[in-house]
Amino acid sequence: MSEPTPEAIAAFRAALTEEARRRFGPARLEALAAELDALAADLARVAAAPVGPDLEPGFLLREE
Amino acid sequence: MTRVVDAPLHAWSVGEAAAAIRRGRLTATALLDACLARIDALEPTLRAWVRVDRAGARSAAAALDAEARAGRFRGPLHGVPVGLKDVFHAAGLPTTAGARGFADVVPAEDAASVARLRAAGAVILGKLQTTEFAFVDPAPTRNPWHPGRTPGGSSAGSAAAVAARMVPAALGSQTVGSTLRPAAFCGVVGLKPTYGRISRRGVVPVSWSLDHVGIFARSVADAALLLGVLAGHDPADPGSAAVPPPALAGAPSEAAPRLGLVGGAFVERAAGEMRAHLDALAARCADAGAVVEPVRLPECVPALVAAVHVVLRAEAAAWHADLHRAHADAYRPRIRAALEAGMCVDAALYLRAQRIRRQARRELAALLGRYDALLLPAAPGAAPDPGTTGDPSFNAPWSGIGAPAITLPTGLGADRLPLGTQLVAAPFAEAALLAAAGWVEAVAGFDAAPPEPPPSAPAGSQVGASETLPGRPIGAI
Repeated sequence: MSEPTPEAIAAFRAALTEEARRRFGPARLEALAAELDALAADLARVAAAPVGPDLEPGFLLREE
Repeated sequence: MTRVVDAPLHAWSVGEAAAAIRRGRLTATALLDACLARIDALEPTLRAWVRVDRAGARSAAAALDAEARAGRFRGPLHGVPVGLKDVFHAAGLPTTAGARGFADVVPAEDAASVARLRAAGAVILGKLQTTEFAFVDPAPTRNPWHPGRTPGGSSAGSAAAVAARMVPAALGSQTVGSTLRPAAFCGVVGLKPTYGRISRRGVVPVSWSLDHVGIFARSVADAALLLGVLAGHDPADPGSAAVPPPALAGAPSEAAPRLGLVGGAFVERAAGEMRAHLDALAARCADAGAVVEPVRLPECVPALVAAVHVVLRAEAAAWHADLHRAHADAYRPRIRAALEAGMCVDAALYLRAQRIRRQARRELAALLGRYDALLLPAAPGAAPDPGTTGDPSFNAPWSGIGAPAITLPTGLGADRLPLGTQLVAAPFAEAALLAAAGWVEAVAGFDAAPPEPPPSAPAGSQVGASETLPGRPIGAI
């Protein structure tokens, strides 16, 4: 399983910071810092994980 | 049934009380009065309830008693009080979702699960505390075992009220670990069935594709009894599964189960005390005849857990968008931060997270299908301090793939706090899960109860809005 690199996590963190600044203003960034750190790590892991190219994003269990 | 004679009325199980009412040896009103007296005695310390519906419950109990006298019984819960986490709609009672006034509604209709409870004869006793919108900012509820420890969350009131013998059973909900974890911390049984097994209609959402209805009781048999009432397809819930209800056995299984004992890196997060307890329990199960094999979870699990947290944030942000726009400053700090982070999630990555969940479900289903249940911790250890609702890491994968899981209280730690063991089965294999859980419950033989009376809270220990949560801030749902 691919592990996200520190660089990938940092890139997601920077992108999230910019989006949060745009949406909520710079005054909210401190309050969001821990949450954005965690989200960046999660997004990097999701981005690094292999997933079948034909797999659609269904989640309801009754289909299988 | 000897406990019917020995135990005070407020401590009777669902099955004991229902059987006594059906035989004419107990009235719903007497049982309700015992629960109300217990609530009056303990609620100032424990703060488990948002609203006790005395008038509604008394009226319902009187009507059920009249029907019983006429020889009519609505169903297997006739006359049994049940509490509701305050995210479930009950007609005429406000739903606060723990949101301190800025999002209250008074529903005209019951949630589908509440309607099923009433149809089975349950007395709806009232609404139980939840963290705000079933997120992570702690509720005011105290752990009945120790006032300086969390009852867990988000279904804090449900777990504490059942543990404290205020009510024999309660509904909760789970998005990541909000049923399994508080059950472990409060020393009760918590059941999270398969995604789609119980309708979510009329329950305030957290994350549509992750939300489950949960059940709190004090035995596997009682949890199974409630599941039998609550399970069923609801065409009005798009996540509801069109499958037959589980074929639940009426008596504990005598057949020893096949168990997979989860080891490896996944359980390294658990405290040494918890790992030693689980190993000892597994050894006792093997001695009693169970097949116990060591298993390791597949490599997809860390990505699955990350996907769960991405989906949770994004879907919660979507549901709260309008409310947040109007009342951003009214939210407590952790949920507000999580919602605002969720608004920043890229759509393509949200969808990738959903694809990862589906892929992981296929991989894990193969493992789960080889056993009646996997055996693992329900939480890293005993209840932590009340500044957090605890770590749901051991619950997140099963919420992510929608597999059924149950927490059993199986022992006490060194500080006399409950330790919870989790069993997990393949999707829609609740019958096998509950049979295995009942068997393990009998082997564990846990019969401890919180101290009487519950210890008072230490001065200055009120949980509030400014605590810091160790580890991942979104982690404790």
